Amino acid sequence: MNAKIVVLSLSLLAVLWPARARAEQGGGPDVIEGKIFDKETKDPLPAYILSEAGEGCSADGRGLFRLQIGKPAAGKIKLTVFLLGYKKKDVEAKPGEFVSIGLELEPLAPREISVSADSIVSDAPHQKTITLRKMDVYRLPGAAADPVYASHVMPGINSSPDASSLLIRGGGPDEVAYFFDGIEILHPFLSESLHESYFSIFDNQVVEAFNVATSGLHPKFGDALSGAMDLTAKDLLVRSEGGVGLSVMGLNSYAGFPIRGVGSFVGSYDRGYSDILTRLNSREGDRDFRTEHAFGKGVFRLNSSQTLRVYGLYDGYHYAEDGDGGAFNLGSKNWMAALSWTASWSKALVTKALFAATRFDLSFDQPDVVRVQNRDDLRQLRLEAIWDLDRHFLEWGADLRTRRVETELSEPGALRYASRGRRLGFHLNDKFRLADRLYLNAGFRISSLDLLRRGAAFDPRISAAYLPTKNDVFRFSVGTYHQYGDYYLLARNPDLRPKAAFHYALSYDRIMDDLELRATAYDKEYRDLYLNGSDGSAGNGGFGFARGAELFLKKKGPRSEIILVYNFLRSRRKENDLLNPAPSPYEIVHSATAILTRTIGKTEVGLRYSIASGRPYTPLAGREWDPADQIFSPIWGEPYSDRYPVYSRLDLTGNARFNIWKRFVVLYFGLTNVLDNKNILRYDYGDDYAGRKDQQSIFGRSFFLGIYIPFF
Amino acid sequence: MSLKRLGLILVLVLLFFPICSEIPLAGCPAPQTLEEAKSKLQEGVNNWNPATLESSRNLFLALLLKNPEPNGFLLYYMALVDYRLAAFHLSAGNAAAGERYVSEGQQYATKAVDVDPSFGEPHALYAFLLGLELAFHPERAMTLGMKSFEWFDKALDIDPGNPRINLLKGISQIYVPEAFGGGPDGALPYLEKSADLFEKEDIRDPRKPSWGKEEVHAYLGRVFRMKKDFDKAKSHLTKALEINPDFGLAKAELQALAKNE
Repeated sequence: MNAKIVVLSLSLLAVLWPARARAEQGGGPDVIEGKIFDKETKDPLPAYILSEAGEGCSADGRGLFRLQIGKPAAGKIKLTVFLLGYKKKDVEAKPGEFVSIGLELEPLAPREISVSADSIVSDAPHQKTITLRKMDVYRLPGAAADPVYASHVMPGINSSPDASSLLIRGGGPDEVAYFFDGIEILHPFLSESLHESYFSIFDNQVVEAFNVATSGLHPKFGDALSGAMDLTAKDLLVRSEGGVGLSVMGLNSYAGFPIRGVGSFVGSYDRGYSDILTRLNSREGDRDFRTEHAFGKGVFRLNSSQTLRVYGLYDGYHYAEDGDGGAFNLGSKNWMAALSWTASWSKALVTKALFAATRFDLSFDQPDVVRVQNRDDLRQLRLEAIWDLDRHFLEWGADLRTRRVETELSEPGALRYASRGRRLGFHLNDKFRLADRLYLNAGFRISSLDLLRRGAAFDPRISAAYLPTKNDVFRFSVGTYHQYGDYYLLARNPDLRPKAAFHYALSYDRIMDDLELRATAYDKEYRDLYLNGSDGSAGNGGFGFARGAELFLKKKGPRSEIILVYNFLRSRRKENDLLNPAPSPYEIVHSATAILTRTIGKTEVGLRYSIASGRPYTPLAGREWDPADQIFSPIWGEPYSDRYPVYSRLDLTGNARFNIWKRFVVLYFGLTNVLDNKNILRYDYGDDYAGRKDQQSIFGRSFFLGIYIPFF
Repeated sequence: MSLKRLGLILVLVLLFFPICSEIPLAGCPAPQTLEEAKSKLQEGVNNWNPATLESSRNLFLALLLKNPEPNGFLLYYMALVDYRLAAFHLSAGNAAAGERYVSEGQQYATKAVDVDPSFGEPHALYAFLLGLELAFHPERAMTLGMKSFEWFDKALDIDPGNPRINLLKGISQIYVPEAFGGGPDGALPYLEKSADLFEKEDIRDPRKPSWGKEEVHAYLGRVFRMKKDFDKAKSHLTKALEINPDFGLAKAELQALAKNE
């Protein structure tokens, strides 16, 4: 072999020798080489390496680094490895050595994680939990741009899309507490107590975020057995925004703007009429409703650490029907005024004092038959504090609420009755990191109501979240919850104890950028439910349970998104007039929803299909003639022994965005109940109980169209 | 020199020369001062050279690690250099690297805000990086766009007379659709205000940010070129090069202007 060939071979060998192999053998005496990776996923990390002498370099996209040592040392050199989001690590290496360094994720601060498996609607970075974006409230078919409707697709909520109210894990609609910017709202629906509740009083235009807790409820939420919905209104704005929309339902408008040197204002005003919608969908005009909504929130910065907030809300609803069964009118009005003062005593300690007054008026008028007026007045004072100690996130507070309910019956005959009660509560909660991957949420609530003779109710609650990997979360929660219920009943029965529920829930979440999955199993045991006695009194002999499982899956693609939800539930209750356990009237055994949204250019289309097994009802077994009153009386069958037919509905929505004269415009449309399924809400039997009449959902096939012009 | 000797030298060189494509750049010298890191960053911006930008990043990182307490300025500079690197990789079509720097830059900017909420510039950097994030998540355009607007407004609310906040806002406005108030007409007021503010600015604390005076004129040059006002464009680009004769962006804009003219 001649010299030429040797040289060429050596040169080629040198050129083709894999650099990686050389790197893994280590560099020269003045070099340390190595690879940095995520200890959990083994993914390479572009971390920074700094020697004790001050030499530094960054690893590349494959995690490989080569650190040149200025003064070669005989012994080991201390290296510090750093990457944002990971724990800083100190290692030792000899010059010429190849080192492999695994980094562990920096643990999250307790405030950054949802320990109790809430579902959140927010644009803020998620807390390792199921999250919908704010725009989803507009995009979800069947959600009618209503936050409460939108929350129906969250796991644990069994409600059908035909009613706003939330049925959480087999609980009744009155077992859910609603809070708006920390203010307890007892009547969150426009058309409460008609047949169902349609639309909430929360205007999505002013809502910043909300979450729905189905177990592990925060102890600041009292007087609720099944869940809590916590909504936050837009707050201090630094830029003006707003919009005007017109649709076949009416007008909606919103404006928010900063007030220089003072703070900001957020307000909305909406008016709705059913007339056009009715005509557009060729319905007979014997049912009409009107709605009016106004909301305003002023935020005033007193100084850099103190803020005053002033609220006002009005909602009006009027429904008129002139059908075969005679005419009737229903109206409701909801007012709220509130004032809150927030003070930041340091970066970690914040206190808030809030006073709010709400009034709900409901009138029902069926000429010559019945005329009733209800009024529900609430005054509440809440004092709350948050202390963020990094590893611990402490919250405590007290709330005082006075409530006065009044009912006036002017037909048939005049009758008026009223009741008043004062509820006092105190709560304490600590969300803390027990270990790097284990978070605990422990708290309690004590409350008492002066209508009852018994002492205070004590509700301890504890939840744990364990993160075996950065994408997986196991959660477990157990807690006690009490609720007082109807004041008239309590006033007549002062020896009652509040109704109680014990929650046990275990869930698994897999939260990734393009996938969100949750599987849950739960058991809710009811105790001390109110049971009517034969003498008109009530006792705490009722009980029940709701057990089930849930599955939620959200898969996101670049232009499409799929949501699949399935709920299974078994629930029985012995309550009110049910002297033997019977299926709960809210037991929807199987319910499933599939939603597909797709973006095509500047157009977005969404399709939703919901199917649910029928709710239980008590069948009519016969009738008998009452000669004394000269009327037919019903003979009811076994309580809740029969079920309504299966419910199903297909909805389609879409929006198209375009520019007109350099102005951004959104055209939106929807087709509700595309297949025009005749879903049964309930059965009516008439005065003589001679025959059964289907009362169908008002959501027949209907077309919806609107335009929205946002201002930025 | 014989062929054999040449071959041996070649082998030795190849064996011991750091292979840049496989292994990252050789270790940086120990950072001396913040000024050194700032100067290296400016050099990287002048030459639009990712290796120099990376070197400056390493210098800032070393300073950051040597500081036991969180330092708002250092966190801010990390966000700034990540913004530059993200912009470079995005323009070079290297989405993966771009996304990494956008993400890290956002984290550094928010940490800087946490350390000192009254420091307006990290708010603006975060806003700008949110805008860059749009390149990876066009489906979230509405959300990210609005969030970016909000953070810019926060920055302007905190420090309305800051030329760099106005500069970043102006640059961002160039790429915002006209229907949302962007485009050259939307950008111009911010850039002109920024140029005025730079004339009055007198930074004496070496820790404080002092970049951008030539950059605002380069972007004014771009905006006037887009508006086809070539005289004004040329005037601003000339001014940019008077301030910093090495400023590559101004040179590139002048070349683009020559083609337009």
